[in-house]
Amino acid sequence: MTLTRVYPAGGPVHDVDAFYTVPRPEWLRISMIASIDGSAIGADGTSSTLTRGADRTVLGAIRRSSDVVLIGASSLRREGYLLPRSVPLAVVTASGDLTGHSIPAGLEAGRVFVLCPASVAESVNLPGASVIGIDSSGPLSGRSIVDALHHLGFRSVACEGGPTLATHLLADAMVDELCMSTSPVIGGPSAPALPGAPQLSFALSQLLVDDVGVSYARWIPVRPATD
Amino acid sequence: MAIAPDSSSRFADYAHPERLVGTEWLRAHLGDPGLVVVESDEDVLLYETGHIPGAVKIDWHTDLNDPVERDYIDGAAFAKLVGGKGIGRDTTVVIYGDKNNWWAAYALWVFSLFGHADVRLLDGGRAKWEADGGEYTTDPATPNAVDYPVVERDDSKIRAYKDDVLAHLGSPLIDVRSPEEFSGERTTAPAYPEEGALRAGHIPSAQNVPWGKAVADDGTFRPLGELNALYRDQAGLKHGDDVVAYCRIGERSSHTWFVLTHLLGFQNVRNYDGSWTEWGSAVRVPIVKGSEPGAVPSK
Amino acid sequence: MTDLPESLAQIREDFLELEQRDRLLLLLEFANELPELPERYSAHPDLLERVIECQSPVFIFVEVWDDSTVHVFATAPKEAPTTRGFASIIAQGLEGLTVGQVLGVPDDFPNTIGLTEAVSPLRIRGMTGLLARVKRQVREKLAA
Repeated sequence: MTLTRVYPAGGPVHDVDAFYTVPRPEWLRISMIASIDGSAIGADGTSSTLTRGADRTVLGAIRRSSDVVLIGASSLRREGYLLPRSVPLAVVTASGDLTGHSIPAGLEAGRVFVLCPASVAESVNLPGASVIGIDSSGPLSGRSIVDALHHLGFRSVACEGGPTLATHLLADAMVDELCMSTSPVIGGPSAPALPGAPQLSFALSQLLVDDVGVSYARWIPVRPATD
Repeated sequence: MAIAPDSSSRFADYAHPERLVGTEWLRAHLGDPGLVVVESDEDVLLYETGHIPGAVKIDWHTDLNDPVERDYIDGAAFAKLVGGKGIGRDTTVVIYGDKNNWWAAYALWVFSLFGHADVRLLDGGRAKWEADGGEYTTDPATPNAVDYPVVERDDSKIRAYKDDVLAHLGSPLIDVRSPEEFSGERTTAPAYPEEGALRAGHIPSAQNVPWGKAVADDGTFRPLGELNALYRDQAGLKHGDDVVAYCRIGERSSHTWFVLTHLLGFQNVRNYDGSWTEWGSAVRVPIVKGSEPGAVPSK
Repeated sequence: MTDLPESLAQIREDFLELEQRDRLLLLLEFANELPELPERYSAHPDLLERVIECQSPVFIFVEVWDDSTVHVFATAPKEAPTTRGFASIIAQGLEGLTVGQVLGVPDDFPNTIGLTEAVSPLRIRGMTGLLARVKRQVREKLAA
């Protein structure tokens, strides 16, 4: 499996980790895969049919440069999410109901954190997870999610979706980088990768491509200049 | 500049004693500038469990073979591979490995295809190093990359293709597999059924000299007298013969190629690396079963 | 990925996330984790079945308990770390799965965990052979 860098300068990629370092310790990335026509899921309703080539290895590189992986509860349920090997997992839930997850029993302390409104903290059904209840009148704001993670000592964050959480963080201007893999397919069920996202511009900071046609882009949001 | 050969009497009788080193010699020369020690094993993880201090790893399967076609890497890839391991054109390379140096011999043969002048085997490989009290380290090697010239392989002298073997029939052919593989009782070596072929047997007129007869129990090569008895007396090889050796995928026959070329001094020995995995599945090539060599089919 | 039992899916994820050279190190970790045989087998080596697809001697024994769960025991020599690694992946990945789950594991699972490049397609066949023999032993025990 060969990875090649296309931008900023062409060349082979031997050590993927070196191409995914974070510019500063506090850095929140969204890491997603979508089809060419912008769908975040394939025929089976998950991203499993989209992922291929070096995608898992790039994902690994992103995880290794992060202090925590952040996902939304529906990803945990729908994707049959497996524990990341190298970093802890943090799950955001509004209801506390994590039925349908695939996290194995016998969880060691510090591997899984659940972020939820304080009002539902008692009803979180993931044995072994550390539950962080956050004072909130409605669903957790992007700011409160990030603050909670920083409070736990997690400064470099890799958010792996789902689309709702990712869009939420973008709307709240919490995102420093969007890592988007593009799988060379179209025509699956239409499920926008970032539904209802605000209008944002990005600058391309890096583009890699592997030998089965998956491309890996690093996009940095262009923030309006503040005087 | 080449490093002095191992001049112990054990190797003196061989045609090219400078192609072998013993464990004492290696222990004395570890760390010499101009020397690079290479480990090539059948088990891809063995190096990581412990290797001779300073040794680099070259895996025949994953480093020397083209990933798409059944062939070796080209000159540019070889230069990049070995240069990156600190091997220059003039470097003395000593190769060792597990399984009686099968894969070390195969790697040495590939180095020879690229014309690397000074490449030697550690007699007895890993087993002998351990038996002689040699130590291993798990510290990864940190070679300084050097330039290695891009040299295109010359396959004509020591490599035989299937068509070469067809044209060669009638000249000496050595099958180094087990007697059961030779006779056709089995298509594969007892421990290697994944390397099977569609048909069993051997190439007509081949002499069966199992590779293992060339080594002692500790994996070191037998003395010259015993090798002569084996290859000249029993298998009938004569001075000046043009010989082709084969096995299943060429690793055991590389070992025999080494014996015939560097220990016995035959000057025209080729390794048919396609070996039985190719011949045994090729369409319309002659095959003989049973323990006799069999006759070359008339043209 | 969704129809693979979670234990095997996790192993696959763990390998795929790593770069090539680190995958070999993970395989070595698996090799070092291969548990010793329980006494009921270490004292009776005749009970174990040799897996001839592997390049080094590997012996396996499969148990199907009353609750239809499968348990695999294997042993391979210390100088065969790759073979030990394969055996360890199979033993850990299948541990406690139901008979149905084990028989449903795709035969080509060993080719999908990102090791073919690092280990070579030829060597991977050793793990494929291991998996096939485990399934065969499970079927034999069901038929008995």
